[in-house]
Order: sequence, then C-alpha cells, then structure tokens
Amino acid sequence: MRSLKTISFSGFLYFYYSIIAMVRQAQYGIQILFLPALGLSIFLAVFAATKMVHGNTQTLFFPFLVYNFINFPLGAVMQGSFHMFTNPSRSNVYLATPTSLNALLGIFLGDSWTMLIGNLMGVLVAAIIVRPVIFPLPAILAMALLLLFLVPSVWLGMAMGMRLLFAHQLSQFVFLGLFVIIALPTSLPWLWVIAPFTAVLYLFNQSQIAWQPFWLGLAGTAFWWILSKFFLSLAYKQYRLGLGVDRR
Amino acid sequence: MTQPIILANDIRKTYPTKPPVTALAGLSLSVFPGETLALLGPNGAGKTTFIRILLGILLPDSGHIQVGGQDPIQSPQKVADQIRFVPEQPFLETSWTLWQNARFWFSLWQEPWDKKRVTDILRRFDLVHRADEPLTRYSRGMQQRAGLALALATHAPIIVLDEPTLGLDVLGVQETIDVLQEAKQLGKTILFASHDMSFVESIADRIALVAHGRVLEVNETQAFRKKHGKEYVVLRYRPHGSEELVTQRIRANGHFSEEQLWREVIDRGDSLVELKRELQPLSMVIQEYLQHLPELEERSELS
Repeated sequence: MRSLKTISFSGFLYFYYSIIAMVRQAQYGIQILFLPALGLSIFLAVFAATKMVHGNTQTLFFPFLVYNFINFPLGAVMQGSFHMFTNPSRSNVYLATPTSLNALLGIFLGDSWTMLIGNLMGVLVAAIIVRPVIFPLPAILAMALLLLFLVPSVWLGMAMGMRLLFAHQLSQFVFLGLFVIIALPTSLPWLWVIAPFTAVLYLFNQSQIAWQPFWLGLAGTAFWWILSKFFLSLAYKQYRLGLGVDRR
Repeated sequence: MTQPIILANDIRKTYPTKPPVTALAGLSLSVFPGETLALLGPNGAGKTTFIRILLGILLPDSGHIQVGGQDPIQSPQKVADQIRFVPEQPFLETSWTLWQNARFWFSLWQEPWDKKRVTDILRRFDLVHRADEPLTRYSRGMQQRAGLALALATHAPIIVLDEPTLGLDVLGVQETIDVLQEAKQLGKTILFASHDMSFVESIADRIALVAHGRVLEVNETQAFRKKHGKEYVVLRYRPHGSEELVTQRIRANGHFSEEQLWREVIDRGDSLVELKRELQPLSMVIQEYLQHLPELEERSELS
C-alpha cells in the first residue's frame, strides 16, 4: 500500500514537473514541434505507402493510436531503462530509496505519460489527416484496455533495459517494427488473449459495445501483468547478482 | 561501548562475468554512530561494490552485513529508510527547480514533506535564494551540493557518498567539504568512498584503507597521517646562489623542480630550524611547509 502510494504520487510528480519543464522550454522556440516527430514519421511513411497503393488510409488511425500507447511504455522505457541502468550512479540512487524498483516504475510511468502527451500532437495530426470515425462506447472500452496494458508494457521495458546488453538496439527495433500491428488480424479470439491490443483495435472498429473481445482482452492483459511482473522480478534478481547491463 | 551502526564482516563478491572479477575478498568494517569514515583506496579497490552491497542493491557471495540492526540483503527497504545515498554524479532532475526536486525526492524517500525544515537546510547551504530556478542554471558543484542538502534535510541518520569530489574543481571540492562539515554538526553518520587524499584528510574522523577488496587498515585520521603521511617543504631557489650546490642537493634528494620551486620530502622529526641553516649557503628559502597522506600509487601493496 505504501509502495502503491509512492509509485502513484512520485509518478504523478514526475509527469507534472516534466510537463511544466517542457512548457518552460517550449518558450524558447518552435523546437517543441519536433516532439511528435518520432512517432509521426512512422505514421506519415505508412500513410504515404498506403496512399501510393490506393489503400484505405482511414484504417491507419487506430493502429497509430495503439502504437503510441505501446511503443512509448515499452520501447522508450526499454531505452530509458537501459540508459539508466548503464549509469549506475543514477539508477542506484533510485534503487536505494525505500520503494527501490517501484520508485523507478513510478518514474517510467510518469515519463511514458510525458512522452504520450508530446506525441498527442502527432495523434492529432493523424486524426486531422484521416478523419477517423469514432464510436464513443466501444472506444471507451478500447481505451480502458489500452491504459491497463500500459503497466505491463512499462514492466517489460524496464526488465529488458536492465538486463539485456542490446536493449538499446532492441528498443529501436520495437520503435520501427511495432507498426506491424496494422497487419495483424483483429477478429481472432485467441489473439485477443495473447496480444490484447488486437482486441483494442477490434473494439475501436465496432459501432456497438462488444463484450467478448473486451473480456478476452482483459484476460490477456491480466496474463501480461503476471508475465511481465515475473520477468521484472527475475531481471532485478539477476541485476542484484551482478548481471545487469552495467556489468563489468 | 557504543554499538556500530554499520557492521560488515568478511564480505566477498565476485562478479559472475567472463572471466569472473573479484571485487571484494573478505572486507570487514565497523562504522559508529555520528562518525565520519572514509573508504580510501585506488580505483577498482572495491569501494563502490561495498557501497552497493550496503545499500542492498547488490548481493554478496558470502559474509554478514547489518545497517542499524537491519540486513540489507534480506530487507533492503528497511535499510533504505535509514540511509540517504549521494552518488558521484549530481542526481537531481536538471530541468526542474530545486523545490520541485525536493518535493519529488521526499516522496521517493517516503519522508513527510516539511517545507520549513527543507528551507532551513537550503538556507544553511546558501541555496534558498536560487531554489526556484531550474538546475540547468546551477554549476556542477552547486548541483551536487543541492543533492546533498536534500539528503541531509531528511531524518535518515546515515549519509553514504560515493566519490563526492569526482569532477569538481577546487571551489566545488571546498564547497563539498563545507557541506559535510555541516552534516557532521547535524550528528549524521557519514560513510564516503574517495581516492582524493587531501579531501579525506580534511573531513574524515577515521580512514579505512581499502585495496584488492579488503580493508588493509582502519585508523583515526591523525594517527593515519602520522603513520603514513609525508612532510614536504617547498623550497625557492634564489638565482644569485650557488647553482652547483643547489644542483647537488636536487640530485641527492631526488625531488622535482619547477622554475625556481622545489618540493622536497623531509623526514619526520627534522627540525625546520636545522633545515633552514642547511639551506642558507645554497640561497634557498622555505616557501611552504606541507603535510600529505601518501600518494596511493606510491604504495606498493595497493597497486
């Protein structure tokens, strides 16, 4: 309980102060417009390719939204975690706090939200370009699943960044390769469990509430919570033995 | 007799790398409440590994360790309640103000927010007038001082620092000495690792000499200095003196020359009056009298 309070409060402070710092820095020029460039560049490349083959560009918006909500908690946290753990003087000061690894979880969650806010501009640009049709009720369910999936993504990103020596390259692969979700089938119930973001995409495309994909997606998200928490515990156990990315 | 607040017994750690690297080979140490103890040793001696084990971040292969009666291996969170760790790099978020950092770090340290206490400490360290500025506008020394000040503003009785003067200029080192002197006044127990001898000398109550993953010796600073310290005189040569005699002296004593200044090691117990008399016909005068702890690299058992 004490940890949960610290994670949520410190995560909120990290997010809030980072946004304030971003706004202050934005006063120094238009460079703030480069913030969404990272995600938007992928979207624009796929958009151009779809346009070229006379494909339906409208279908690109929701995969792009989902991509943003997975890539930043997973790929960017993996990169952030890698850089933090390869610099032990920085990671150790967080690990030496009473909530230890959970302190970092709060920070990475806060950081993910900061990056998401930055990328929201990219999502808005994408929405203006493709003008997606949004059905409010299924969209609320889809967003709920997506937000719940954020936590295991952060845990998995942290675990890989702490343990894998090539996490930096892997995070770049995630950043570029994750947009493959556009090609995944979204109507397979077993896939909703294994990859809950396919259930999210399915829900976004429904005009009425569909409970089956929601529950199966929720079960899949719970599965990823357990699995990623296990990976994180294992990675930290091995880090404490001296097998972290800062090993000699 | 006072019980040690930190007690380490026969700590061993070999990193499971290829090939394995032995960092600690039976390190034992006691730190008593309210004292300032320096871990003095060259790079690679095992100081940082020991600190990481002490903080519960790294697991030793064997040995026993207790911090305030708690085991950092089994209960790192209980140990973390008692220790504030300040690493060698400034650890605060540089794009935030010092107030924002204070609020954030107090939440991580699970300390009740006490603005008055923090203000008092920041005032004491001459930081309160700039606490609303982002830390990007601070010098590195000031950032380090700010991190240390926040750690001191908490109720934790132990402060652990790893190479606190690394990368600091002369002014930054002096600032760190001043801050740690203040910390001593607050009654904190301070354990720090350093290979900067003059810094260690100016702040530590006791010195633990660490090399090859072991503590070779623990002694009070005065006693340590007396045992290992070398006394130097800096001599200035007057150009109108006898160059031949001066050259002979330089060769005989093996000291170095720099323009018209020489640093010469003298034996302890040498009378400065006698030395002056000896130097007179050489047209040399004592410019400065210094006392230093031994250069670590000069000591064969450390390398």
